[in-house]
Amino acid sequence: MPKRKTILGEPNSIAFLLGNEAIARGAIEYGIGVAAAYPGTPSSEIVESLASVASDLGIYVEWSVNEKTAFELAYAAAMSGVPSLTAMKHVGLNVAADPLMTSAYTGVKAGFIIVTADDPYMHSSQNEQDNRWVGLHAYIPVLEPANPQEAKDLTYLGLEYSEKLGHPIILRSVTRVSHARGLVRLGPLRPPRTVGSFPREPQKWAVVPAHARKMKIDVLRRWREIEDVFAEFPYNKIDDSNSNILIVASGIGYPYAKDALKIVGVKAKILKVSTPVPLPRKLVEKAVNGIEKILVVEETDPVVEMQLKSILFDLHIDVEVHGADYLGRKGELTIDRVAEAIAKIAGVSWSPPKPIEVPINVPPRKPILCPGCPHRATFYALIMAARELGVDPIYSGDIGCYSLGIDPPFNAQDTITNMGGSIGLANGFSHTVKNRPVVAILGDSTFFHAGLPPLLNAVYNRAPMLVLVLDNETTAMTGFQPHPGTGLTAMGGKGRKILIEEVAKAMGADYVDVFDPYDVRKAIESIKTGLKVAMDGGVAVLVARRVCSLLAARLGLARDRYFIDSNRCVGCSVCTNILACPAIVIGEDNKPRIIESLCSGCGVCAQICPFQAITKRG
Amino acid sequence: MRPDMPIPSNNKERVKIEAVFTGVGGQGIITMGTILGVACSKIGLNIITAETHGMSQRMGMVDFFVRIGDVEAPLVPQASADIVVSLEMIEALRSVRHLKRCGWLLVADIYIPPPYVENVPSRKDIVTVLERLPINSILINVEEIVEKLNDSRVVNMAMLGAFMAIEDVSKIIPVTLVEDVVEERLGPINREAFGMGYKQAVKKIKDGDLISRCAKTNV
Repeated sequence: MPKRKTILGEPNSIAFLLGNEAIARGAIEYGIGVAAAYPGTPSSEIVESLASVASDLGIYVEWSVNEKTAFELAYAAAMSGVPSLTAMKHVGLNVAADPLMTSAYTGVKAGFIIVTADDPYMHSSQNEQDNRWVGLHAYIPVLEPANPQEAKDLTYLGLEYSEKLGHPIILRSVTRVSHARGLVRLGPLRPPRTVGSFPREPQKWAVVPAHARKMKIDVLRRWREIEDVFAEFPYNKIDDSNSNILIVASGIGYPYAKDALKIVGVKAKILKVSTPVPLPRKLVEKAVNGIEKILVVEETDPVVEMQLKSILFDLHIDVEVHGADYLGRKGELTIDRVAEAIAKIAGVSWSPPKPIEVPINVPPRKPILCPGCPHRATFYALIMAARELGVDPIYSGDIGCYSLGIDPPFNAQDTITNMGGSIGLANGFSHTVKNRPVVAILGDSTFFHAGLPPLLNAVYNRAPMLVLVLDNETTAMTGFQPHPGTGLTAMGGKGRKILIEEVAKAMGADYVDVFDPYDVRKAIESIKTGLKVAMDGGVAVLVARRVCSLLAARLGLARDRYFIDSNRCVGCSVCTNILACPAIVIGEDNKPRIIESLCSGCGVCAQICPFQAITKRG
Repeated sequence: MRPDMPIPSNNKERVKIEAVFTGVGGQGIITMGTILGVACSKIGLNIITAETHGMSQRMGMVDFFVRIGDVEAPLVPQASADIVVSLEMIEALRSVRHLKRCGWLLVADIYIPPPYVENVPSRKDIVTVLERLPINSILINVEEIVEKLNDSRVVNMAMLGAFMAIEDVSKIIPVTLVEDVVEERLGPINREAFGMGYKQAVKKIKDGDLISRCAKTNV
């Protein structure tokens, strides 16, 4: 894992930081004592950066088993007077929603910032939910940075306001803030506050109905106070201009609007919003003076637009408001999209330049399982086992690299909805689709994250299934973070190593086995046994254990190389059509050959070749 | 103290460079942007880059946006890039959509066909197509640099060197500054690769050894 100590730069120096590194820097400038997260794109580098400097600073940083646990840990730190951060991808906030919804009621003692990194366009996610709604829903204010500098500054200010108001605060980032890099002027580091105290005050922290009813009154009072405080928030500003058009730009909408105005050559007043929830009424009142038309520029949903319309209605101000109707509510903003909307509202004609046409078909290049990926070997064994038994299972899939098993030649992810959903949905299918076995397929980190309750449920309620845990001994897709199965912790220490098979046995699964997917025949036999257990009404848990091939290469473990003996090869295409390893290509003689620079030496192709034409080099 | 001091911007009001670095996941494209960003931070020149992580890294295509100077947002507008650097030949074709008319396309002679896809254009097909486009394109012989240095991981720095050969870039970011950052961060072999990519591109531009040449330019 790369060290990210650039975040420890000298105060007042300028660093080139990833938005997520800037968030980490803002948190340590404030002096947080605790940070906890579960990795997820585009949020992972926040806690990864903090973990890399935790020992230097003497703060506590962990990868928790899921977002709810991470949230609760950081929440309790803030209850005990230690400022804290928790970070997650947008869908991770759903997992943490239970404590989140109540955290506004209790409030906090020290600064508590909840970072949600949203993923518009779904670069690496299953939906593009806009978590600013969560702020409105949970009575938690939302800050929205426009670039890496603001990502740092608003993290710092978010913690400061949170502590001052005694209330949690959400920082909503998006891919183009979290994964943008820019110049960031660093501020001074305050000494971290790492030790808390917790006087007994159940009336403040224990939300029994009698307490909660009083707290709700207090939440509503604080919510009004927050709106007033936000009207003076230093990163909200009005760029004045002699124009009757107002652009209300929230977060990343602001830089797009600035660049787009220049391109279209239109002048407009801009209300830059860094506090989209709650949208401060006083600020709106000030900005709309003399305005005839408003365009709201925000990424994903009309969260600011709807609040704005409601405020204008209450103020009896009748102006034309556009936003989602001109910009749409899907995908990422671009300068061109915003420019077109600005041209439309200004009544000028503008369209983006046309791309140069390339008179040839450019083939797609989709992400694929890496050469030597143990998941490929497991998918191969799974397909073969089903074929040998003559069954057509439902493949209930999950979130991780193995989601790529959806593509040919495997076609072995029939559903992918949410973390742990593989086993969760399998519970349902097993009661409704009786003539096909159900196979739940999920990774090691995902198993620990959200696989335990639905597995327990399957065993308890007798939902027959095969649970196939693809254990590559790391959280590969998000950048090799450790998890309970690795026994290592975020700060590089030794934790307790938890074995998936032991957990499954303790939960009472009917059949538990571990196999190495690189041992193809054994893998097929093991899966056949597991399928039979499921077809006989039991719950089988199989652990396919083999370290991620990318990680193996990094650790210097993958040294073997294979080659195809062209005299023995008859061109049957089993290796290319059924295994589809990207290190094997079809040569000009229509026979496969191995690109040795890509080969990771897993040897799976050598085992499946019917003519023994593939052998290890040397 | 409020951490809200502005970035010094001596050049910010005067220049703007839009660039896209492209290639295949795993080629080290993000590192190119990081080196450039660190160099810009040393002279207070505004730079903002955008990248994608996660799924797109697993041998998929990678687009990395670089905007320098008088800019705010992270994404290069459609068909507006002044310069596209492609670390792979097929991706060079795909990346032409980012390029403005008469923009520069710098292509590494690395050819990685996507696996299990039909009708993949050959190296020759690609050059033939590029020859006819209204752009300035150069093929950089990176395979030769890789061979000389006996290190397949230097493709990215060789191509960053080629990028620095474009005059609009080197007149605002000193080549020696970037070279020093390359050495400081990645060691002497990468510095050498950077220098070789730079010299090759400078020579090709000077000799007019281009794949295609745009009528509007004075090269």
